[in-house]
Amino acid sequence: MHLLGDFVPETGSVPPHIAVVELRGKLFSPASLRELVVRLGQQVRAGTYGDMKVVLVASDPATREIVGLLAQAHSLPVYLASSFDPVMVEEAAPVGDLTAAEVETLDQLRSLGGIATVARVAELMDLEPSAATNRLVNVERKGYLHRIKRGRRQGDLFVDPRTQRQALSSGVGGEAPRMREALLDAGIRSDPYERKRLKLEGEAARRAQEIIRGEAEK
Amino acid sequence: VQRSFATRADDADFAGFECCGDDAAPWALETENYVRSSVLGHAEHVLALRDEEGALVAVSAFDRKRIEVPRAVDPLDLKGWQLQVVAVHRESQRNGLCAAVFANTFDAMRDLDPGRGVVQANVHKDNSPSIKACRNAGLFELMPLEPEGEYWILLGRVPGTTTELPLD
Repeated sequence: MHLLGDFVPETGSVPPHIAVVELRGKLFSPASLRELVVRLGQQVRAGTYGDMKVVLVASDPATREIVGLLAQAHSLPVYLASSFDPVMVEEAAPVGDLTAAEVETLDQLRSLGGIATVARVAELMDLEPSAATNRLVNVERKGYLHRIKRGRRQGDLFVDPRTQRQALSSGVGGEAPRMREALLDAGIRSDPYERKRLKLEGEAARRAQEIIRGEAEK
Repeated sequence: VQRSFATRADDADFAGFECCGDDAAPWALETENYVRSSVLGHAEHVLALRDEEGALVAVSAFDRKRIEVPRAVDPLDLKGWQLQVVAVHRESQRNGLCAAVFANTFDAMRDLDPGRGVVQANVHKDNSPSIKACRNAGLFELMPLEPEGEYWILLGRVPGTTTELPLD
């Protein structure tokens, strides 16, 4: 925590940002792990570091499990990743005080490139705008999303911090077309950019084997 | 064509990239939008292909991908790639450039990690030109991206790699 305080000045005015904290190189006692996670989570939730979200990285599954339990017990807004790798950070799991519907909302927002208005999320999830608003605002208030205020006509933007590379570095609030916008406008809900692990079973595995061996029909 | 990994310095060229007309299908328009405004911030590896005068004639992008095969004894975990986009500028289409784009993309994949031998592309089922281009590059239809979905997963092997998929 001293280190974090050295690098991140306590302020409430810095722009939206994300801290990726890797828990390695140190053997944590239960007390020191609890102190780090709970204190950091509480400070993030309280806005001590401004609009900062946090990803905790731990390669050890047991450490991640304990951090997840601590986050749940203390309602701490934390994302958990198994590696510092940027792709794994984007795949970080939200832990803490989230309902299944709120986790689904985060997943859907991420599938839109991590940035969207209420209207776009409502359309994707087949929700009334008021219901989508409630979900996004609840998740944002719990500390898992950035909210970029804009005019009423444009609508506020909700930003998933895990996809900050795109969302916060490519001009939040601009008029450029967003990922999947053309597809959603045409009623196509598939996400061609989907990055999750491909699982091959049964016939699909046999077909994949055929393709990889160069035996697929030309 | 000259191949290079794109950076933010290429942003202006990407922002003006055109690969479809006004009456384009939604998946073609999506491709153009993605190249113009998202790919540099979204994909892990972005290739810019330029002609001898330096004009941007094609773009491809890909991410690392893991492919899991749950076998009876030990699950197989393959390292691969996912093609996020292959786009040829509208003024350079229909002249065989697409094959060169795939070849350069496979070269870049091998340069980055020769141990990643499988490549996945997700293509709309009605996007015949892209499906044909993928087939020509050795990527074939595997299965729908999701049940009742409109996109298909196409799978192939990065040429020059030795990936195997031993099943039980």
